[in-house]
Amino acid sequence: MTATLSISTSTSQVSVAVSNSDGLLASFVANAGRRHGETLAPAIRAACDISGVEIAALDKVAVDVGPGLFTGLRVGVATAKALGQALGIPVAGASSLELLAFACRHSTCPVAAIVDARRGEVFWEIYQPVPGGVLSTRPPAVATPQALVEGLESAGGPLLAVGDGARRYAGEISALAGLVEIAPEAFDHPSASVLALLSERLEAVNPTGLVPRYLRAPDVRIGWETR
Amino acid sequence: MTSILAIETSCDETAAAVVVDGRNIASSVVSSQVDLHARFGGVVPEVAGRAHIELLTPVVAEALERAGTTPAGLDAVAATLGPGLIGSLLVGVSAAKAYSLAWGVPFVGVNHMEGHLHAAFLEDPEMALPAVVLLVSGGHTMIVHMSSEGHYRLIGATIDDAAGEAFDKVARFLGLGYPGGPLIDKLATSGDPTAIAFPRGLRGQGYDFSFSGLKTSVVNYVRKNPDVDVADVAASFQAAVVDVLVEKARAAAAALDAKSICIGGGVAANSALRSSIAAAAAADGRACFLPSRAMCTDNAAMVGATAWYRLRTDGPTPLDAAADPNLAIRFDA
Ligand SMILES: [Zn+2]
Repeated sequence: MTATLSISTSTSQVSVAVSNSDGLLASFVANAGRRHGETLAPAIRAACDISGVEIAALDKVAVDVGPGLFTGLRVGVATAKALGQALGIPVAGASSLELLAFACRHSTCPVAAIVDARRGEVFWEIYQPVPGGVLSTRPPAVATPQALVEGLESAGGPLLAVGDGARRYAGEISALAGLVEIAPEAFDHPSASVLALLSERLEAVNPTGLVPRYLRAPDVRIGWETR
Repeated sequence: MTSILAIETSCDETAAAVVVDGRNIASSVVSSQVDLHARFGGVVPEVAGRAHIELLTPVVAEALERAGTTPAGLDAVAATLGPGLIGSLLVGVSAAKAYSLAWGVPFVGVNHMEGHLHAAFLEDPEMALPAVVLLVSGGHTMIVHMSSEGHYRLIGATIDDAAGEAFDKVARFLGLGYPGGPLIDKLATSGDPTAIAFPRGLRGQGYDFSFSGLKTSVVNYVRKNPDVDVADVAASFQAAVVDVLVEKARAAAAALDAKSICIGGGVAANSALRSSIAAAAAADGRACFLPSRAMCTDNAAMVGATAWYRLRTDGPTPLDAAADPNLAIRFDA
């Protein structure tokens, strides 16, 4: 009975799930309120408590490694690595964009997964639904809303756009009405419950080797404060 | 016996330590990112946050191994909650909470500056109190009166730049590189500290400090005298900083009748400051405690020492505690 903890913090949402071979045992989602660093650890404790899975009895940690919000990713990935190291169990990373697309795997058309990257940009990738999952057909990229719209248009329709990036730039995307439809709000964020479904297929790695998928070079402004 | 695993990631050092009963360092590992930031001439928050993510688990593994401790031998996990860079703090705090969950031991969030104040107890558990502590780093410059462990009063602080910030900015202007403190310290040994009379900010005016005027006058002087010996500039600048730091700490110690003077923070590794404050304390018949350079600069052992104290006085920190870039020390009224 392999117990897995799944974590997603790559967007403004914090989501945690506990699952085993019977399926999903408990999940926790917070869309508002306190931030990732304050919410995640109590959420993990609550999800484990409620599902009756001792944290020490976990066999695997799956985590959304982005792309997405750097602060959120830092919290999720640091937590997953430390849990994996402390418990001596493997960790597995999944793409936030793949999680978005996988939630829409029953779509009849290709899925454009779009995460709000802030600073006027999005992270996006196109997936083709296939039996049992989704396959990437256009590599992940950073884009301005303008470039996103051009990219969606050149991909040809019809497309299902999903994610908080699609929501934020729905106005821009509406220029492609008839070609691109935006998925309902319930699908806006990568979900730990979806990650739990995928976790069996993910490659487990040593916690030390796990890093976020940034997709963007670091902003190299110097912080003079606090050294 | 209480063994605490402590983590420090507030700025550009990824550090972990195992501290026993708040006084004994079983291990202290510091992985400096200085080389990563040197080419930018200062700490880049985004680069620091990314490096902490990669370095923290191996640094923690190393600290446990060097201490010969298994997780079963740990009684708590501590991390710096602030002050510091938010993206860096979050890595250590998130990991510490996760270790606490995994091992079923309390989490303790620590104030970084209180950590610097506690560093002295790791090397001099019998330090004579009350003490006047001069805390000088890239982010802070303050004089603190410590009446007993955990009880502090703020006596003075910088009204603009921190002392370490002045070192970094002047070193950058002089084209010396980064970090500025050690580079100026080294260059100053071959210069004349009396060559240029740079201003001593707020001299004779209470216990607060001001270093931004000094930085500006160094810039103006070098622009007007492009052929000046850079070693003389470094030595004269350093003397101006050290003079006011020592004068004010000394005056505070006298006014408060402190038994000892202690220094902490990254700038406390400066050799001119160390010799000058030791001489001043000796002249006044006061004990002077100069922590080793490793205990002056950022490390996790000081976080472990503070956590031991805070665990006994305040109990564990809730898991929903927030990393706080502006976390203030709780001073006594
Ligand atoms: Zn410090």
